[in-house]
Amino acid sequence: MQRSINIVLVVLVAVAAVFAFFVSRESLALPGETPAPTFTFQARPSPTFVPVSTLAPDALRVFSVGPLPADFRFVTIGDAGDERLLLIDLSGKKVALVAHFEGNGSFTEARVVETTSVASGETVVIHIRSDRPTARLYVIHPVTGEVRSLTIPRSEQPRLSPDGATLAVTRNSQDPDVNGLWLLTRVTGSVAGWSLTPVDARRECCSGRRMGSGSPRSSTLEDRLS
Amino acid sequence: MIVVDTAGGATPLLGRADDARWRGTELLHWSNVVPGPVDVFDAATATPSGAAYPSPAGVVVDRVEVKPRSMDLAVREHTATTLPRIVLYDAVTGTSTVKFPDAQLVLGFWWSSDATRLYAWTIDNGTTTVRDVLSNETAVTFCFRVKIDPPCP
Repeated sequence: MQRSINIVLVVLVAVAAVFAFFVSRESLALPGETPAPTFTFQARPSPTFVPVSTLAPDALRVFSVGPLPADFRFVTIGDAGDERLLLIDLSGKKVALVAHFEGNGSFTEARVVETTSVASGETVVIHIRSDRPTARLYVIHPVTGEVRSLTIPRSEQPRLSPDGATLAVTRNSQDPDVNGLWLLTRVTGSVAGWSLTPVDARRECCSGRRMGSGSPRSSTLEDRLS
Repeated sequence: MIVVDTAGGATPLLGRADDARWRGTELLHWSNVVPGPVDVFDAATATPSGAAYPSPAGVVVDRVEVKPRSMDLAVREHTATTLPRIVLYDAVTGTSTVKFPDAQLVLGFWWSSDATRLYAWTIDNGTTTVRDVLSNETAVTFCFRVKIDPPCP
């Protein structure tokens, strides 16, 4: 009896297999056609530049512009409280906004905005002054939109060194100890910060005199960004 | 003008100057108030070394841009009776060629890094334009205020 059952099961399995073979031939392939293998190419998305903006003190909004073009120039234009730092792409014939003062902030009377940059364009410094006793520096990296804000004593005519590590400014004052050329340098190591030192042939070179209360840290103030 | 080094040293008074440009170790300097040449101070030898541009009599040099890898200069100049203009000074022949006859509205000018183009940036009624004055080709036009793209006023 058991043997008969086994035989019936084997026959049923064999019939089901033959049936399935014919059904699949009918449904998956048209007569006389060989299914061709198919390939799907999914393009990998290229890195996309996503601009960001940061609002720095005194209403300066800074934008990232992405990779710098081969032939470019930074220019500053606009009315007081509406100054814009633009990147002119001379080869691509277009203009990008790097930074924009969205108001006067605390620099209102006798407001002057100056800029200086390294040749590569990777660092730009905006210097703003008014009739206040302090001026402000914005150290900007246009590619990423990173910005640092520093409060320094009132000064003018900023010039970045070719390596971007030092900023020279002039100070126009009745006080002979203040008047003249000053260098702002980034201090690294255990005492990090910024140091503003005078360069004046009338004094012994760099006698350790600093602006402010004497510590390199207190010579300038790095502002917290909101 | 005196030249001060970052170590605190300084030259004697070199004369009147309102602006300057580096050309290697040479510092080109001039007055943009009174007529006179573009003089040279050689920082390598710490001595004055003649004139880079012996401007004609009565000519006030407003601004100078040094042509890269060359002794030639682009000069914006004027006299008491003539409009500002931009000339190209050929240092080999000692001659000048006018490249921008009426430079009243020029905000600035500069050389391309490969020295093949001399860009002048002008403003006219709220619209600013940068063009290559050697080929007279417009590079870009943009707005002075609010927007970037024209139309501006």
